[in-house]
Amino acid sequence: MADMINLTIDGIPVAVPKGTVIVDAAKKIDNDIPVFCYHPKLKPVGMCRMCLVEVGTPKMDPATKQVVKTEDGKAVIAWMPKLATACTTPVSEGMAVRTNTKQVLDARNNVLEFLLTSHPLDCPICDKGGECPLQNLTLAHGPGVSRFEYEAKNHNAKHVPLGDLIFLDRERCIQCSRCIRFQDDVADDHVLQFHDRGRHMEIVTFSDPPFDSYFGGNTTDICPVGALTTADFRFKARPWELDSTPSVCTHCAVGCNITLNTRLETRTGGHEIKRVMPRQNEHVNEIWTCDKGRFVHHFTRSTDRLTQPLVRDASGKLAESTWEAALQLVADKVRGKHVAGVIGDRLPNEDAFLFGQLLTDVIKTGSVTMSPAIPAAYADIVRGFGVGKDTEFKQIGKGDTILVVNGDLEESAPVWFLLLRQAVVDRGAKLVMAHDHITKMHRYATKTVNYELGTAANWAATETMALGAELKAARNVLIVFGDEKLSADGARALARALANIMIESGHAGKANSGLLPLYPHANTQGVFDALPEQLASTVAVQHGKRQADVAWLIGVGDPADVPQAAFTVVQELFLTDVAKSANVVLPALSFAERDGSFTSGDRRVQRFYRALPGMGQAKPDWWIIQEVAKRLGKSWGFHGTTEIFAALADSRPDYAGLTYELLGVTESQWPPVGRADLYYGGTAYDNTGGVGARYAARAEQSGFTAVSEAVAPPSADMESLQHLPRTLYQAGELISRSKVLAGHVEYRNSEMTRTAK
Amino acid sequence: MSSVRDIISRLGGMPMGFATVLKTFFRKPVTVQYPEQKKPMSARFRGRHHLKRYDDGLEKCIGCALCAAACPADAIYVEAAENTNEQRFSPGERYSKTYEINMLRCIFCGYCEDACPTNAIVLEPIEFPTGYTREGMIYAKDKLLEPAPAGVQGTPQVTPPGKYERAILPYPPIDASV
Amino acid sequence: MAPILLFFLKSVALIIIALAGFAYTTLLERRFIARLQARIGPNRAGPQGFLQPVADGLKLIVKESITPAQADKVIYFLAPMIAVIPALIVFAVIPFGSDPIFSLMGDLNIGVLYILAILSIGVYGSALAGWSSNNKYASLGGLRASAQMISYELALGLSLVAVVLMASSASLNDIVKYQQPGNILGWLIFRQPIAAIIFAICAMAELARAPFDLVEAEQELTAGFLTEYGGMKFALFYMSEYVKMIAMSALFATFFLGGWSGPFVNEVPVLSLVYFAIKVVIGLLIIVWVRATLPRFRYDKLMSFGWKALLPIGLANVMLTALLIVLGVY
Repeated sequence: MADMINLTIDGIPVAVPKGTVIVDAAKKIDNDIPVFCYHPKLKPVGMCRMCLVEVGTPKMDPATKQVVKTEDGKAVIAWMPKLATACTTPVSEGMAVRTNTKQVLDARNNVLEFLLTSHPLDCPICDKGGECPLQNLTLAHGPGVSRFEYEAKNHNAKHVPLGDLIFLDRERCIQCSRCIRFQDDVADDHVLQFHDRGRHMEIVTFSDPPFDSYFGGNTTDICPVGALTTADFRFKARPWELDSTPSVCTHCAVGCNITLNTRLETRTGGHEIKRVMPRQNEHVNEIWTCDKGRFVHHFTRSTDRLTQPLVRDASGKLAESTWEAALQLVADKVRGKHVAGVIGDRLPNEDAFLFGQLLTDVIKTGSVTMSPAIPAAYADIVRGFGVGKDTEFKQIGKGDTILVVNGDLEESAPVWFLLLRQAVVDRGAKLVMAHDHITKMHRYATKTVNYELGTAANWAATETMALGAELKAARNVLIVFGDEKLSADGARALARALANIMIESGHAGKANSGLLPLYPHANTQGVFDALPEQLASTVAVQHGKRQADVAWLIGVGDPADVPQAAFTVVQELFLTDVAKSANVVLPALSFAERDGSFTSGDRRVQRFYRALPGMGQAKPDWWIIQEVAKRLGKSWGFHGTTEIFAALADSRPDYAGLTYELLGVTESQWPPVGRADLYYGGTAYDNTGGVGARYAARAEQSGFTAVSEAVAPPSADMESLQHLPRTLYQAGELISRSKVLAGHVEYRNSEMTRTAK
Repeated sequence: MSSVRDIISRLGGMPMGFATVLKTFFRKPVTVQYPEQKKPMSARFRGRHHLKRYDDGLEKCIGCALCAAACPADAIYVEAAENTNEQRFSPGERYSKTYEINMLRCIFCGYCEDACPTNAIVLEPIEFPTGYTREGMIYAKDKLLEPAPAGVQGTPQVTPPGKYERAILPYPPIDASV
Repeated sequence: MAPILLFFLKSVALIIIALAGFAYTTLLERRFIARLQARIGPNRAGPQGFLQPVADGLKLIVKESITPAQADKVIYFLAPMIAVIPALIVFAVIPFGSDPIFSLMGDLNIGVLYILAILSIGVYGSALAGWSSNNKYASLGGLRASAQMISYELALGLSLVAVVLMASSASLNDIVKYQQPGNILGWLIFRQPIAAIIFAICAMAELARAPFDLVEAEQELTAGFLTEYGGMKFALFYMSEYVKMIAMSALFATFFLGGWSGPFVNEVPVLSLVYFAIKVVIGLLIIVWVRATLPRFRYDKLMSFGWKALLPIGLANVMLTALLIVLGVY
């Protein structure tokens, strides 16, 4: 590294890149300078004064412009007369920092005493109690007794709703502005601000509706006190009572790493998810997650979960049955019949793989596709020209170009919005927006291209070449695209046209370049990869018109994806509309109750772990599939998802070399979060479940020659107009069971809700 | 007499032992017939737990679960919920919706008393948990919570806004009008 | 009355008395030892705890019967019976009253030999129980039982040889009659004090009761040969112990306390039964008293006491008795 600066902190030499502030430099050598307002992901402001340290620079001789040295050759340090804030002072060559002198310790003590003059000390009922930076730092640095009368303290409102998801306790707030800065600098939702001055200063929201942001939950993680609490976790449990299990969010293609905090619950007689916290993965979601990922978990313990197999009896009603009877019935019905299988794209890789094996190898007269079907039309193109294996969103910056086509990043993949926005705004990447309507990402666009509603594929096929020279000149090109308002053919044509751009501009198969699809759910790519290739890509597209003897649906929400059949088998969590019309309904376990792996939109394969005991007699989907196979005479003998994933990796060349052990490998990440470092990086959880591994796009592999190939877009894509732009909170089986997001769920009619531009 | 004692001691004191045992036969038994007779307990004896109330009928327990955290036997289970002015159980925002002590697990160490920030839980030498079933030995709020003082409404109460803003100190709440 | 019917009725009566006696001996012991320890003892079931044996019995009957998987099943089931049957049939030769027809099952002329034989069989119960349980504590308990019985049986027999020499008969009825010259000094306890003491000590050892309860020393062996037993099988061992206690007490009364003899026996024959009962109960109380007083022997002391003290003294006593008989003192 060229621009390394050497300095000493408490006599210990340390070398850090230029521009680093003292707090970060000290943290690198495990010298914990206490901070409240500073956060490594935010810009420093120096508001709380907690990080005061003694700073000195080498004394220069004015005459010679040389560093004055003592007799034994050491530089003489000129100490600044006053303490400096370590969070706003960048390091400089030869700098000396002292963090353990009496002056510094007194300063910390005094700052804490000041902070506590208006802090209520109601730790016993505070949700942050137990994981509170103020608590910890007071214990470490603060005064043991208060010199203030309780009555002399500031008494403010303790229940101030900032929107219906986040509540503010004004007494507890220490005015560090982390939440304001997160909303301004990271989320770019300017919804919070300080109001009034001095002792009356308070956080207010001025948006309408209040706190209108998809990322509000993150402010509670980085809040150094219990001032901000979520409606979901408010008074639900104490942090030390929670068990934490690493998991992966299932709601979009980002694959945010999350931690499921569970606790014993008397009513449900078992464990229950008390809150969802981000789990640090600097390759994926850093330390953030969106409010959908954070607040939609209630479905896992919804009272209407299926707990027993249901079989339609003679009177035509779905009646409770036993596993033995239901499985035998399914086995008898599918034997030798033409079975049309559909598997939802929230299902883990292992289940999709086993389902494909069942239909092709065991039943043999089966065909399988995925739901929703449209992504299956272009997932193979993504596998070929997706982002390079070593892509890091953090490295995208100056000289790079990001092209966003036909998709709303914030609505479809909120955390990618955060990361790519920073690439553009903070690091100077160029952003080209090609859309039929305005999205939030348009704010940062260097260039905007518009096309007619629903004609993304036509535009891409014909006019993208205009961008050719620009893209060729870029260091890297990242193309984000969605399939909104497109038919399967249209979506395939769009993806193909974008792949052609990658090839022609010479960026195919490079790190930090490639296609980034805005898939609808967490495992769209994984399900496609795990299913038998020829079936997924060919059958998929004509799914709606399929006819079969038996339809077998796993996690299919959209009735349009259901083939016509005389006998229908459904594996589901709930008695959905699709399940209600089935002949056999088999209860499945949710992602929180089992192990498995997801492949995210950028093809990172990540493991999730079992956090909860199962509901009733519900079983994991792979178990159900295996049991039916056993009754059809095929005994796989898998004991768990580890073995299934090994079989998948054996038979899918892209996954070759991937194992659960590899996916479970963790690494030390910067900034440190949680546990002892929660004062610094917030209460997000450190990564104990593995950072996952991305498999190489085919364009990167040796022997692959990228050839651009023209796919004509459908001329009159009328079907497209029935698709509305996707929004984050659009109604669905899972989000409508959320206890706190109820007021946000968008129930739609068939009309366009947004004006096309 | 001394010569007799001498002989006795030469016999290894065995007859003395027999005599001592036989003498005990004529002593009054020291047994206390427990359920009918009760020995007076020390005021500091740690009997079974009681959840206390304030004089105005509100529960002292604020559902902080510090007792559960302090409990070395993991005998206490607390679920908290939020007070409203229409349905107020305790001062402040938080109250214990569920409060259960498994008396079979409890070792009566009194750490929960020490941990309690509002002196809500007290181990009193009044009665002792007994029962015939395991389920019956899990004492929930209905058994633990002491009745409201005479003439005072129990919980939940309807309270005026602003009167019970804070859970802990000071109590009674500061009257802002004074 | 046909003699066979009489025998049958006498047997049934005897067994009923022995079993009721067993039940209430347990209560007697628990209440008495409680008072010796300044306690009250069981007083809840029925008035003064009178129904406590019933409660205990019911509990043991309804308890789940558990057999260890690795046990030798046949012997494991047989052992309690081997323990309890000898204890019961000892009573056959003991005269309970002055009327030999109604209060004595059978007047064997080798009664003493019969008793020694039957008592030796009892130890097989403990030894086999210990071995068949397939448990190290049980095995050790069984081994200790065998060694202890063999060691103390010798001295027990020698003490009885002296008695037989004196009475010139091995029939228990004759021994009682021999002690009945009309005054209390006729009792053999006064004329054979050494034999009486040896008998008392050995009887305690044969019963394996404190201070000779090494067989089931709970501090070392959990419950000795009883470790793997529960429910009714355990109750049978328990029964054998207490029935033996009564039997030993009865034998002591018969050999050394003049049996059923006492004032006005010839005028009112029923009194003989009462006298005998009183003597037996006093014997039982003394056994409990000893248990409440003395701590358990150490194993090596037990052995050296048996072989180095009781056996030589017993032998010497036999010789002395014989000498005195020859010299015509007795």
